[in-house]
Amino acid sequence: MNLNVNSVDSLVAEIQGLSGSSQDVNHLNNLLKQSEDIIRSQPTTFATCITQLDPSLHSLGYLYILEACTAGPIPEPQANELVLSVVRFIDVCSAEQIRLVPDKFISVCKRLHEQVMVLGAPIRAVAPLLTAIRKIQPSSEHLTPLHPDFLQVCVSSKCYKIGYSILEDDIYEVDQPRDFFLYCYYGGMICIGQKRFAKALELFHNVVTAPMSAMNAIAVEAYKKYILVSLIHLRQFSATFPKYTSAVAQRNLKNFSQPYIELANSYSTGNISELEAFVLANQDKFENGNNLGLVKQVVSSMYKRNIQRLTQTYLTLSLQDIANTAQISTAKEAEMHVLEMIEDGEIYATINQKDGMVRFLEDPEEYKTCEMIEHIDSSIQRIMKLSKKLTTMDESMAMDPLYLSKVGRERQRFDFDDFDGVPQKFNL
Amino acid sequence: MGLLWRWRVSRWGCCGGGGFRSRSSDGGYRRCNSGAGQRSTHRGVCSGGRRRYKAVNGVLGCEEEEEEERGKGGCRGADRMDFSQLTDAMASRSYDKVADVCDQLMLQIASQGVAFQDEWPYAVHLLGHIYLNDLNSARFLWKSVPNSVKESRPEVAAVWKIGQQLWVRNYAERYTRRMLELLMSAYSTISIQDTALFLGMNENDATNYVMQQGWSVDVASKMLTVKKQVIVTEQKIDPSKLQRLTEYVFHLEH
Amino acid sequence: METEEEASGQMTDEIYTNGGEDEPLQQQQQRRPIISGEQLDIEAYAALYTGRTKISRLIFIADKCGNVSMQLEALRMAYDEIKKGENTQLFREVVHKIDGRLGPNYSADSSWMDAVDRRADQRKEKLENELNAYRTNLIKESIRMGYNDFGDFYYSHGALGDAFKNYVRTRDYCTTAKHIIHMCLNAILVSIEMGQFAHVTSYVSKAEQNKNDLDPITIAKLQCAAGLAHLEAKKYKHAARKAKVIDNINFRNFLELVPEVRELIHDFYSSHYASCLDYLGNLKANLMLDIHLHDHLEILYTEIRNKALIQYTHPFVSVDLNMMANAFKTTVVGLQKELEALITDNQIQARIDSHNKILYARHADQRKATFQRVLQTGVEFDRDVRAMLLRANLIKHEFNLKASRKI
Repeated sequence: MNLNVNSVDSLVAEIQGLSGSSQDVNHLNNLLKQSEDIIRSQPTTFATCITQLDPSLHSLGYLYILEACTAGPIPEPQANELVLSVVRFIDVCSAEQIRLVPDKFISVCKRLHEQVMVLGAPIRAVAPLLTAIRKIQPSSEHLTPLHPDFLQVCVSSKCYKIGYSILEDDIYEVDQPRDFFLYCYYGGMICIGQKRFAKALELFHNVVTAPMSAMNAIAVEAYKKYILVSLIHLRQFSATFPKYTSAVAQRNLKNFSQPYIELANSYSTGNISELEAFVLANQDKFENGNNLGLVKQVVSSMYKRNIQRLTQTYLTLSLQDIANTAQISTAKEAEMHVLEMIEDGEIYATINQKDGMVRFLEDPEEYKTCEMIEHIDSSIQRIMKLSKKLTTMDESMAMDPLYLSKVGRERQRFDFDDFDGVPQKFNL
Repeated sequence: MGLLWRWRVSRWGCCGGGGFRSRSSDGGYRRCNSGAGQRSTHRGVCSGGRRRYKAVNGVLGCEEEEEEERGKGGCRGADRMDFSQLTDAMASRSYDKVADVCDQLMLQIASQGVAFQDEWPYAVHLLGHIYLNDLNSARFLWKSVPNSVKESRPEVAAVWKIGQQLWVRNYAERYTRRMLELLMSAYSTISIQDTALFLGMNENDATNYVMQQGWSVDVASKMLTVKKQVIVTEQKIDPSKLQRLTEYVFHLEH
Repeated sequence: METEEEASGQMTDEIYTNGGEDEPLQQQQQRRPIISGEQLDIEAYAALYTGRTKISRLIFIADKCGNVSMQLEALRMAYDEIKKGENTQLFREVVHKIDGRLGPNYSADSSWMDAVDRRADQRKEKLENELNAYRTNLIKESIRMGYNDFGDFYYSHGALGDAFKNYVRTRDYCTTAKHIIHMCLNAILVSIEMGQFAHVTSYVSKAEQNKNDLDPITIAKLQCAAGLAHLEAKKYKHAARKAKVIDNINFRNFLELVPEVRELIHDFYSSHYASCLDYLGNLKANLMLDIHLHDHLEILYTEIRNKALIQYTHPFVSVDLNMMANAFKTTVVGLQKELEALITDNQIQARIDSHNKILYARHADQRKATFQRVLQTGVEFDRDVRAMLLRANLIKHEFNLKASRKI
């Protein structure tokens, strides 16, 4: 076999000939690796002959050439064409072939992201990047370097719904911490847009508590949003970090988020006018952090917090008293807040307009329906699966020679006390 | 009254002139029935609603024009955009599919570099979201409409503004039913005036409508007493599930 | 020079006159009630105390009472009392406070001060000589007494820090448990006056280690001191338990002295809250003049009231708020606010029917609560395990990276 392919045509011929069986494709991959310099040195020549290849059949070769063509600076007139060809390639390429060179595939996709931003049309990359993630992902549990890109174009083009669809996958496998940080950050923003605050909290929490050895801007921004979402959703904020939070985060995050911590303090007093005054005084800071919208949601959640507290205390209460206690200006306005909370399932109550009274009720759920049994059953199934996963990981780690040597050397510092207290009973 | 009206506008978006600040609600309607058996009742109601909106501001004409406009737009774009899925969904009255079909189509066409915005059927797309009560997605879609389109196609903005009215007209039974569910769960007594406002009817129609639901009226105080709805769902469970739960308990105890 | 017994006897008097609980009964009963709703009779009040505590209490009243005639009266008595002693520092302070308002007889008597100071210098010199002699001879008991004398000397001249140091120094020369207790009592007394309540607590526990040698009076004294220390530390519950002389016969007799307090306690335990709170309200103005209670009275009052509110509601399934408001001498609206705070604080398990003005006890539905907790735990477990797996993966990644760099 002539390994020294030096003519463009013969390389194209090799690609066409060796794109069948997986054995052939592996062989082709070796050939292409050796010819990379040649491809890179003549991108324009290769760009013209790419038309002789079928991206769905000759995906591997096509990808090598596409990557070389997109490596250099791209003149703006060609951007559109480039985007089109990358999109088409992502659409039809063979997942099996591209997974042989994931780095190349990823760098082509990143170029796509970059170019649609240049063109000012992020929406053009939404569907292709989703397809790309699915093709490159070994399983839906793997985070790919394309997740952050996809979520970012979703945020930029306001396609929150489709962005959220990918957040429903449970991610366990992470390669690059940075990808994970960005995934959680953009993912959190999408959840905020979709009003999925619990999920947003979880994602931001992941960033804040992630192992890290140096401070990074993503963690700081995530922490600010974490504070705000916590106030909106939980109506409180606890400033203590879980013990597994990295030392660097525990030391620095609060200093970088001072106005946000103060906002939370002001919130906890339950005094609306005080909170509003604070927001007004610090408006610039919140605006600069692009968080003013969220801060406003925090303020309006205060009314609900105050009403919710009343449900713990009162069985019946007049709308006027609700307005007075929750610092709402009129009884009618209080009625609208209560109605809204009933609608959202946040409280259980009935309004009696005749007497101007509200009767607060207990949660009517009796935990007797079939749906509930099924819900409990599926929760147990899920938790058992998670438990097994945890055990498997624990075992594999216990047998990992690298880990063991590390533990042997510095048992004190690296004792994985994260794993304390896992209930073994869940392993049926 | 002004306050209640504003609330309904902000939360349900049911008003001609109001801006859109709504939020979707996930929890509110899980127990909502389609109410198919009461179709005839709702027809009457919905025509009442239409009359009312005509009286408010003669926007209906405008809305019908938009429908024609959209039809034409669809034809014009047919060479580059394949709307067959959408027209299928519309033809089969599968309104619940409209939003998804539009979402997918839009992303697909966008990825092909087609400047779809000028010809995109925003009105139908918006309505698709609204139909599913996904006001969040509707809001983001509206936000993504380019300013040039908002300007060059005033009818899109008009549709957005009257979108909810359109929806009330076309899907009145769904909207009315849902509002009624909320009133039934949230109130024990409520004034006739507020009920009419919430349901988007005149006071007579509203009173008649809720009385058919078993509510009672106190003419002197103009107050309605709500009849709570008893929802009975058949409880039937797969015995294997119970078996499995029994096994868990057994496992935990031994 | 005083003997050991005399010295300790004197100290006993000092503390004991704070409470006056074991004076002969008849004598007590002849006295007028001292703590009452009427305006404080300073003379009678002051007669309860002697020595330094009398002076401090008088000065405290003068500072806090906000009533000029009462203030001057208190200062006058303080002036007289000080002149019996040797504390020229305190004397100057009181003279400054009087500021000439009591005429020439209550001015800065410099000849008295000079005489006292001169005598003090002489005595100090004498004590120093004596102590040095004892130290050269290394007689333990004499050294202890020497330091003790120094403590007494400084104490009477108001140099509390030096007094404390000297009293504590006797510790190394104590040979019997009695000596240790004596040392502790001295240290406690001085500490209380200095406001050093941490010292009080530690010396009380030191003294209590010598259980066998404690007589009942000393025990009561120690408990009172500990009670005061807890009060200052805002540990009211401990304060009450320590000062729980209620079961003590002497205390009961003492209570006869202040019938209003007795009635108050009686009312509290027999649930006559309105009259109990009445008594408390009447006593408040005068209790505010108590040197130890002053800073804590508001909190104690609120707590007593809350305790009463909780006790009132406890046995009932439902409570008529109108009746309850009557019982607590308040309006329904005010009561509702108080109850609201207690329910929010989870001190009362109930909910208010504001429409019908009834408080209903809330009975936890165990079954529902269990389901809720189970589902909640499930959600948290799910979330936490996923987060844990992710963190473990990130650590693994970083670790592998480091390892591969090393290779």
